[in-house]
Amino acid sequence: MHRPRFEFPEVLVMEILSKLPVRSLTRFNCVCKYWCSSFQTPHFISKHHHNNLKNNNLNLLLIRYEYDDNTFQPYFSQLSNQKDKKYIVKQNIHLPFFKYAIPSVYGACHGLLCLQEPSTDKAAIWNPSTREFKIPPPSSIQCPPYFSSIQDGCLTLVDASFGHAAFGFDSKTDDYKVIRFVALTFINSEEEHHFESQAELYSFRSDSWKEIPSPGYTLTHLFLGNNCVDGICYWKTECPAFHDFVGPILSFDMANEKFSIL
Amino acid sequence: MGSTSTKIKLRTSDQKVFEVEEAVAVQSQTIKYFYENGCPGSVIHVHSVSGDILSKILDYCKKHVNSAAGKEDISPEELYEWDANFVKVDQNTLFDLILAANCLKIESLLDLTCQTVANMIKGKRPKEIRTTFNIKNDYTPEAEEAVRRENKWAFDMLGV
Repeated sequence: MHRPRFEFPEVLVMEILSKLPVRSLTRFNCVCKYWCSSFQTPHFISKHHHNNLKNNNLNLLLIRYEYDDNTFQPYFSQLSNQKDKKYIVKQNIHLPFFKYAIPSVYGACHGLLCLQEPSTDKAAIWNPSTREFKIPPPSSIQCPPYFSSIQDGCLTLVDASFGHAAFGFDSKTDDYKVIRFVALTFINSEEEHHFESQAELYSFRSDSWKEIPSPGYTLTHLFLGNNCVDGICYWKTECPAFHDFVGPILSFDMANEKFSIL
Repeated sequence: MGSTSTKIKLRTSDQKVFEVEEAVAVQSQTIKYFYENGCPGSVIHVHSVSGDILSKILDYCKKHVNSAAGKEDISPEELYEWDANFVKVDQNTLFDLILAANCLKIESLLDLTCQTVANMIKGKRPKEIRTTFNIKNDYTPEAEEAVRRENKWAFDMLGV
């Protein structure tokens, strides 16, 4: 292609560029500084997102693991979704983090995924299309190694696991949020186990976790990665008081940050 | 369409006059505005569009109006195919069509033509893109290398 024989209006150039696939657009960051900064504006991002939704019927990502030297390495395969064709791997996307652990995947929300390592407090918000990611700071939950109470005597924290998360968008404050439950296991001097469940909420805007009052329900082990719809997250609960153990549905509103029961 | 339908007169930059059925002409939001707010029967000047380009654009509008109104038996796939053939033109014509679609405010045509250019350039290298859009590289070699490193995955293969 040769250059147009006249100066082409910038607004129309941006119109064209907003219809490009992410990979091409990312490459064109180094065409000139103006393009690079234009691609970062909220107007361009939202236009590009809108166009991509129109053009892309489906984006399928498959989480896979490579076994190498006794360690698992997770990666994602993007599958092609051409009509009437078998799914073939278009490209493999390796994670720059979670190199040796298997994360739970939550979302997608506006094309973003939240990855959570169950055994540690390590999480990430990841855009698989642009490969951009953000690692939230460490957990806000206070995990004192020694916890004394009159009833149980001296308690030692033996395990903390992070799970039952949900990743969603709060349209009121224009913020992505992650909620997760932290299960703390303690033992006392008689080697008896004592469990404690806490909850914490991450805000993308403030880039911080804050502890929120735990709702006091036992969540089922059923894993649901896409349990957030229109800013409300849902979990199934277990209730030993009921014959079939099926407790009520617990919900959490990302906007007012309150739990409730359906 | 019957000969009794209302016609709108359009005059192009090279002084060519077109008599166009109302339904076809008002696909352009710009023409629609002038038609509804101007004197009845007066000629609408489309200063920035040449006769050749306007003629093509009117073909496009007619096809889409007839198809939407059910006057022409054409499936969505056939219309898609027709659109694909419509934009098989040389590059200058394509850029002229984009400018005209923008100025006449025909959104679907602007979408179609811009998407066509996007498809043509998507696999290209930044250097080729600078030539296409006549852009001066204002990065220092070191700064450009840094941007490349940051977005390495997009350069690994020139895919899309």
